[in-house]
Amino acid sequence: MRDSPRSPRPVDVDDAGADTVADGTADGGRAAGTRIDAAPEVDAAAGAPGAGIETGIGADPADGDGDAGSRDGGEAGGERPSLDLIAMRAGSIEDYARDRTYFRQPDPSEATRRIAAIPGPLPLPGGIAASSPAAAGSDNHPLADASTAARQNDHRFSAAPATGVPLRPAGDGAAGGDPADDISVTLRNPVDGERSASRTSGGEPAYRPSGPASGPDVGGRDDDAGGLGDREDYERQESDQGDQGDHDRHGVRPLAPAVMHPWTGMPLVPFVVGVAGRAFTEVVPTLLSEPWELPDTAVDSGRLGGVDVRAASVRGLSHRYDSKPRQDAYGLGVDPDGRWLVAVVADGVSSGRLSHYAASLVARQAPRRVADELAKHGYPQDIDWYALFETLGRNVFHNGRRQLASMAPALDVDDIDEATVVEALATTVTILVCETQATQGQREWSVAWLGDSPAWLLGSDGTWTCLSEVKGSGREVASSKVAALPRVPSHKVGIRNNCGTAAEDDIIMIMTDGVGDPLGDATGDVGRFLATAWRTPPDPLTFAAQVGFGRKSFDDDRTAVAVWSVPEPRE
Amino acid sequence: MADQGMLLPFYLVVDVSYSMLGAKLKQASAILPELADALARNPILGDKVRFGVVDFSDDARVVLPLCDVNEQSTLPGLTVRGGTSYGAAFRLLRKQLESDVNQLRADGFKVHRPAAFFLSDGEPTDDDWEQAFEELTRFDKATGTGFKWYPVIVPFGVEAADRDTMRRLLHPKDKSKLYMMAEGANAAAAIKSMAEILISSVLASGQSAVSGGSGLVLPGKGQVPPDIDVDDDWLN
Repeated sequence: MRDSPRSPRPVDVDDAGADTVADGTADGGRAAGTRIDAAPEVDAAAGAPGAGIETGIGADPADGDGDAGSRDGGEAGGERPSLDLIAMRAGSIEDYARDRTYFRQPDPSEATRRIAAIPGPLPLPGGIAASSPAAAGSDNHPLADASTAARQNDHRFSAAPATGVPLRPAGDGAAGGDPADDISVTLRNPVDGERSASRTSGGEPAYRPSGPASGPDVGGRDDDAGGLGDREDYERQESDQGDQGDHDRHGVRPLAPAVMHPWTGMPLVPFVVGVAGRAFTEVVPTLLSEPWELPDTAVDSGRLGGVDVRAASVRGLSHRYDSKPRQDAYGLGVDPDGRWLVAVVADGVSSGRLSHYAASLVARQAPRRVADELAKHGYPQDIDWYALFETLGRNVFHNGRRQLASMAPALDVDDIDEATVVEALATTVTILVCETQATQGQREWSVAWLGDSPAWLLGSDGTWTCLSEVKGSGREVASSKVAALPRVPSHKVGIRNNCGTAAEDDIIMIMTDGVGDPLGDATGDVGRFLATAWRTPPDPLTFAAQVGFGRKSFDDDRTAVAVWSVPEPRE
Repeated sequence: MADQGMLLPFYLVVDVSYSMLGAKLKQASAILPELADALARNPILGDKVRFGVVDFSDDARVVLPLCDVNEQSTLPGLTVRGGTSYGAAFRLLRKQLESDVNQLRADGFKVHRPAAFFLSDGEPTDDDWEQAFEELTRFDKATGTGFKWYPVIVPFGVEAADRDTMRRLLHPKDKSKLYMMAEGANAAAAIKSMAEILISSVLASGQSAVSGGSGLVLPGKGQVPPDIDVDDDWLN
């Protein structure tokens, strides 16, 4: 048995050769069953290209004490930081562990393998407590930051809470990477109990990812504090588990076969900032009762000149619950010269029954109109924003009135009075114009807005600057009255606008208050989360998932458009 | 910095004088679990509503501090003890509101105007309750004097509760309504009906807040069970 069964050693994958061999795999798997052993063994013993077992959240966020085992493993190797990625999904790990297959066998021909590590409160199924190479005591490692929930967009890591760690096949140093020699990992499948043999060195199961049930601490196996290595234990465990159906008692369903699949990928795990709240975890979205051609989630991404754009609009929990349409919308456009990017967000006022129509109308029309104005004037500062908003307001009004008339055929269009229209359709609008190419490290931007959808600038150092206005700042009781189209303020000053230049590294974004409210004045958790998540442009679906982060009581539709600079290619 | 969202706080202030003993107390005790069930069924509202219970007889006590009722492992019941001091109830309510609202704001929540449902089955035994009521409800927005977190008070009166006295508890008069047991109705059944009114009001107000409205939603004439009379017509 290993000396400290409760402290599985981390796989220091860069030292795969040295460490793990020394760990005892040379023994050919003595007490090999400790799950943690398995990793080094898998790694070293057979030059395991197949060693990379990618696991998602496989286990119960087990109790603090019990975690000592596997978490220590993360730390035993030398004060590795404990990474609470799981914190981002507070308390609901089981829901996600359930019905997910978390284990995938990577293609042995891949040059790097990824081991998913969830150091921290979760004992990994199979107990792999890998840590990334640089994490060994490094404070600079990105994962060392405790608030890493948003690191998901780092391309080295999968979107799941698993952090991918390049695992050099130990074939580099140890026994050959010949796929034929692949260690096939022994997975315990409680369904049919099949186990594939494996192991090039020794006949012991190299790895048993059976979740906390077989953890050193869970399941009351105090007779065997950490090493469930012996075959008897293994078998005893099998019978202990009994028939769990498709899941072991902690809801983990390991993949049965020891077969390499030709595919890879991980399910996306929703982001949560702080407490998720019951609504986020319990609400099951309902399809719309009427087809308004508005998808629950809309995403766009791509490059334009020297900028990289991500846009997402996500239906909020309350609308998902009530089977109402998404009342937010975004729009994108560019001026004919390609010099200016135009981005628009619109937030339909929830009390209006056609507000979603108003918002999507504005989001569609505004970019075109602004682009036309830019073609005429050349500079956003020269645009007559008031006239533009007036036009948008008129369009919302007339189209809205027609729409109402078509919904109530008995009424003539002219019979519908203004008050009815305004009551049924109302939307905020915020427009951003920014240069697609930076000159001398600076980009010009212009923002014009009516309503409470804010514009923010995120500096490369993570500090936030509001480019429009922070909602409700200074007021103790927030007024529920919002300025919104089709009503336009009687004075030009009612249409606010702002302009300036931003450094190339800064990120400019506009959003509706579904994101703006939880962001607040950007000094809280949400600000830190987004600053970390959006340091570099994430892939579009991750961006949408980040815009739709869970946070208790924030159930409004969420929309955000963010603009990054494309970094200059280095020669 | 208010980054935790908006909450709607509600209180139930319930008379636990000796006269409540029996079926009436049982019905009053059932309000809390029923509300918890209703909020459990609607997680969107459940995340936004906070509920607290204060009981009063000769003195007043906090039965359940303002909280998310579905996060409580047990919900307390009510027991009777003595007379009927309205003053004690209002004093404690003011104290609770002050500390609860400030706590929530310190935690980063935006707090909606609180509402207090006041249930009594008899007349007050103390003479100076008006003073306590003043202190609880008076607020001058222009000068900022008074109690900033004054609640909307919704009185429920059964049995021996005096309609005119209860009417004086309405605050603010244009936002609140008075619910009295109808003549000849059964008091315990009336309390059960009032529980329904309370719960539907909490849910509707929560829903209104979600949909961008504001203010307390209270059922009016024609929307309440037959054994309750609604008073919402204020000409004076």
